[in-house]
Amino acid sequence: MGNHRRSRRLLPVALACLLSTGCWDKVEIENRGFIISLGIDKYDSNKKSSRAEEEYNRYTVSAALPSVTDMKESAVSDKSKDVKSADNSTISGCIQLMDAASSQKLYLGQVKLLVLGKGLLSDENLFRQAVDAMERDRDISRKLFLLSTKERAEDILRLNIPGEPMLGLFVENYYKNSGGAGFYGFYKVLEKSISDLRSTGCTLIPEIEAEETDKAEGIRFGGCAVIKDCKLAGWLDDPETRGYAWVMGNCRNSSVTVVYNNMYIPIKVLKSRPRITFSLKNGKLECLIRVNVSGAVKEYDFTAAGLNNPSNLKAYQTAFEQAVSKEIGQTADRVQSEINADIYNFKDLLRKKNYQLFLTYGEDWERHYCEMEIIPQVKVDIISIGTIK
Amino acid sequence: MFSLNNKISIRQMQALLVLDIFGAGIVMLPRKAAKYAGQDAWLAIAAATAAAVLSVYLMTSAGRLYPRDSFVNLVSGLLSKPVGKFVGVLLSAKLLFNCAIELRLFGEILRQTMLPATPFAVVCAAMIAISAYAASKGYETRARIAQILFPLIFVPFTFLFVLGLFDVDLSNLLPVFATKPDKLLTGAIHAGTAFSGLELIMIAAPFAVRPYAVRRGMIQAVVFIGIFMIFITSVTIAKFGPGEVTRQLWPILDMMDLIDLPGAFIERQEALIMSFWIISNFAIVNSGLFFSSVLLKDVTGKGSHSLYILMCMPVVFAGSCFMLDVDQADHIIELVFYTLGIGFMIILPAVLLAAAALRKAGDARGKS
Repeated sequence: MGNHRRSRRLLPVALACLLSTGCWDKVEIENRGFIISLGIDKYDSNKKSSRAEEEYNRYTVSAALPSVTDMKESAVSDKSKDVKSADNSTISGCIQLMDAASSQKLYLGQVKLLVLGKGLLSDENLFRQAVDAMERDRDISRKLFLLSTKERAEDILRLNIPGEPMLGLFVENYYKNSGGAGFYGFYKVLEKSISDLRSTGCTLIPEIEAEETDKAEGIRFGGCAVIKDCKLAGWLDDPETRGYAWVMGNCRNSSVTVVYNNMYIPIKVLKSRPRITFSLKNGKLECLIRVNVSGAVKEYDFTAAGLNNPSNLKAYQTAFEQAVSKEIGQTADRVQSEINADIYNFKDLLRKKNYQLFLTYGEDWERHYCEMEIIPQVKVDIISIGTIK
Repeated sequence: MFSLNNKISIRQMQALLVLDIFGAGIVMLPRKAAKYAGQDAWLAIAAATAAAVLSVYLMTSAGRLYPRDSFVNLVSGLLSKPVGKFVGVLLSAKLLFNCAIELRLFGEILRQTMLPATPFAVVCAAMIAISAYAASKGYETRARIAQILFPLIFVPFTFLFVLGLFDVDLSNLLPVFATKPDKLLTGAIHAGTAFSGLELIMIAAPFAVRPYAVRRGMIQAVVFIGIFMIFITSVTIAKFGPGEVTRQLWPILDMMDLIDLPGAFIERQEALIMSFWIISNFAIVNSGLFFSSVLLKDVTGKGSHSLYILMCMPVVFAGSCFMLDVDQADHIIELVFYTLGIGFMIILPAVLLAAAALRKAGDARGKS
């Protein structure tokens, strides 16, 4: 009787365990192909293909995976990757083709990096569909890093950087260590880009380029692509990107070099805090960008005599203030007059900070944005000149 | 050590109520509230919480009229036996229907996020089996399970959202009080669906060891849930902005994806939120099966509640197999809430109180 009762009690437990083994969805880990980086390009019509569907191809999707067979020495070896690519009319079609050509089941849940080629960025329809495909796939994490390139994304993925892990892991570690540090540390995740595109139709995508020397391949971060209305509208170089980063408060640990008295003096930014306010002046919308910067002098001329003089220090601070103001002003001027893109998302900021003004100017925002006067006001405080101040 | 008298403490009742309410509704709550109230969604949820507190007050006041009587006997005593039986059957049907729809939603989400190849029937049957087994053991067993599950769900959940606070833009909650009152009210009405399940208080009240303490305990529980909902909704809106939250089907799930756990030993946190959801779905199906069986037992006056659980299981399973997508299921839940839900939470208790006042009926202490 006791045994009978005990087995009746154990039966539901056994059933629950049996049914929770994931019989239908289990995938052995060695059968999973973990894609670390993805690259999307516009299909190159000059490419020769044996497939009959070539005329319908619109995308080339590349995927970098760790190579299980090569990973004998170390997981961080630059050789331990495979790059697969496929051409198709849709992103999902490309991924399916790559899956069909692989013995492993490709998995997008660990993608760290998405690189978009210039051809794709320049084509509005292709870009829209690519972003939509990334957004819809629940496997793809929204915190993956987004990068743009003036070349083809596939070429970036195929780069072998000596002594560094595969590109997706490299980028992830790089941004964790240097993220937010000015033009080279400026980063965008997929979620933020999608949010910007839906809000104003504009976003910036940081740039990555290959840098080949006699000795080895390498990469370079810096600059960014300006996307307006889901289409490439231009590129910002390094100082312009930092001019944007000052306004966004993303310049901590950045290094700003100013020429003063024939000396190149770098200051490391310890704190950078922007405050943006909107107001009406003579019937015209005005945006005041106050940036308070605290920094430390990193190099001087081995005397430090000049730095101990308060009036000299004040002059250096003024020089830095002018340099930072100039960067902010130049970027603002370019995006307002030349590119006509609200990359700062000032429209949303106006809605939050001055709702009454937003009700008046939010309607025809593109025109008002271009006419708005942007005034940078920078205050630099050098809080360290070396060992002792 | 355990009394086995089918009576539970107020703390246990609070844990049960919180688990019953914390379900699919909370995952979609930020979207529903932000759709109408925008960045003032937290205000809409506060208004919904106030309405929920009022509803709890009404229900517990009605329950105090005859605190030792079951729900069916209470209604029968005040409104007549046929009405009592009809209300009992209707509420039972509503609970089973809710179970089925919640299971449907749960199965759909599980299929889309974690187990795409697993047949829906397997997921559904497993959940029904385990919930029915727990329900068959009585109310005390349910209460002890709730005491164990409560910290398992809320402590990690709160921890994750506190972590999420470090990477949000609080200016997304601006401008404050800029939403028009009519939109706020609409937002509050839609946010109120997250409190679906409150009507269980009327059925659960007789199981309390101190029935006159139920009102205070339940109001505390509802206030706790309301504050928790405001917190997670505010963090979600601060993270994404009101416009983006409106576009996402499950903003809480997407929020979890973006949170970086310290140490980065878990890359994808969606499995964590899904585990919370599995537990809360278990609580909902468990309570639905238990209370339906209790109601049916009180209506017929025959048999044990386990027998009626066996009868309800295939009904819930069949109901959950209806082919509905997430949007359709959500609409049906809302429709049932605005009709039967509000009927049981507000209209019925008001009618019972009015009937008691007219007939000068009720337990003497209940009138104090």
